[in-house]
Amino acid sequence: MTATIDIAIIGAGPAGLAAARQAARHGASVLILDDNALPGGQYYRQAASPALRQIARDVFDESERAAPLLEALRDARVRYLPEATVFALFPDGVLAYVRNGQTESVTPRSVIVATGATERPVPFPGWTLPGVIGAGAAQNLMKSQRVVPGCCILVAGNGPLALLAAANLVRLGASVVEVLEAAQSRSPWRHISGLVREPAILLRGIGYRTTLLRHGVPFRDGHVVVEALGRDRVEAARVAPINADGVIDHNRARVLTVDTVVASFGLVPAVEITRALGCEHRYDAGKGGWTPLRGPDLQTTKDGVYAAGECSGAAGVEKALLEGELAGAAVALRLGYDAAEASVTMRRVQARLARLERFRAAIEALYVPPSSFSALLTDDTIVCRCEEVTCAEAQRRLDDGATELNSLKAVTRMSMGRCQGLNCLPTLARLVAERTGRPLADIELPRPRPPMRPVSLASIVAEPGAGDVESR
Amino acid sequence: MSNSSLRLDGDRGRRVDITVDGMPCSAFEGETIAGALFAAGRAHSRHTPIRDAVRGYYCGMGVCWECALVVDGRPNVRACMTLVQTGMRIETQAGFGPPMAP
Repeated sequence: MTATIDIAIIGAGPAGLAAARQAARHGASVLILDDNALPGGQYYRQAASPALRQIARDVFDESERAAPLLEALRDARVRYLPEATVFALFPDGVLAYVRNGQTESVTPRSVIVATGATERPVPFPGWTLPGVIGAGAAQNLMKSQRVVPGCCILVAGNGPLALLAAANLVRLGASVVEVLEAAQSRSPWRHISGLVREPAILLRGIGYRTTLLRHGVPFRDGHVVVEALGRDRVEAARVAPINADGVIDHNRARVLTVDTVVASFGLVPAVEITRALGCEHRYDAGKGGWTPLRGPDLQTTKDGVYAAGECSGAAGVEKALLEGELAGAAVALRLGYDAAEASVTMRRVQARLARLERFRAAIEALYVPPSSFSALLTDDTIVCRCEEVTCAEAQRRLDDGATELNSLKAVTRMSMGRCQGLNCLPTLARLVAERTGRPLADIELPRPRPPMRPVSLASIVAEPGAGDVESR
Repeated sequence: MSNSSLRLDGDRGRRVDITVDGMPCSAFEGETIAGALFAAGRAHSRHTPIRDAVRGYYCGMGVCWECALVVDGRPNVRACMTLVQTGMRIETQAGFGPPMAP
């Protein structure tokens, strides 16, 4: 059940698709694996039926905008496997995935990891109540379902994605009560030299603010949601301003009647695969956390393993597309295809990426939150959703001397549940750093081990059916 | 905006009838279970094994497993990743859900 191909790409989002298109263009054979039913990732998430795609097309035209990228999937050199969950990439280069309830594997000559990013978990009291959803979750309801999440919505968090989700909700006619941005208002003029590098993206951002203004939706800088209230669903949210010194001012808290809280605190790069492989990573708060170290060709510290897009630092779709293109060209060059052409592509894309990085740095500076979100935690706040561990329990274990993530994990089972730590590790790392006085960059994350995604034991032991010749 | 209009206006195509905890519920082809539940004003999927706390759709992209529920007797089906199909029986999941059939 092992086939050899030039490049396996993990993830069919903007970076993965751009990489596939570029690599195939240079002559390489490509296999794209993605756990979703449709290609496009989160950014180009499409509705599953033609009828749904026709609804609200003035706001969401993902299918049309993704069309040139999706062309790549029609290339004879590209094989695309949807609903394929990659659960292991072994050091000997064998990549294992589950599809249709069965395990299959390939041994590609190179791998491009384009796994994207996930919502940054920021626990606050009540954040596990149904009706508290991430910005990505809100976007997906809108994009793929043409449904808005509630009747009365609070959008709160940190970073441009909260603003984007709020603007989309408003454009679709949803009632957004307020939009809260934890960062204090800063003058954009100090960062103007970076911002003007990407006028189109800048204009888009201004457009989101204008949409809120036009619809009379209050946008408050230096405010945060401090509690979601309700029994079986959000019924209200307590919000509070953050003082100039970074302290949440609970005396000035207000309660808003809402049935939905869209909580958006940015993204965390999905680096389980590169970490499990032992690629070197570095912590960079501005990029969303740990990201793989890469050379100018986007190769990680493991030979033949490349990382492209949000999994190497969350910075938006433009960067993901460019990095995909760069990685696709770099791998093709490495494998000996079309060398002159690939080098030209790489140089062009590298110059463009440098400009984008200056823009990203300016945005990062504008959205620096005033203080640690740990101030939102109360004793009863759940920090690990899967294993239902509260902040008080985690703190007690820290008191008992479990001041490394691995020991904390061993005594509480935190990060061992179905999400495999995606919803708790950033918080736990923060708690350990604050307790020990060490910088976050010094906190060692537990090494992910296969299976990195929940797959049934039955599917791991099942042999591919006799009819499944294409994967042999 | 009332609950009945959480689905955006427009022709949604073929109707798909499902049941949710025994109650009939209308959905449309191409909707996920999560989409159909949210459109019906329902955000929860399950009760947790340890604290019996109510949870639901949170990440919307198959990562957090908070929206896991029981579909046609099978536990741990993610509402956000699963399209509705005619006759689907969807149930709130209690704890780890019913044991899987062999």
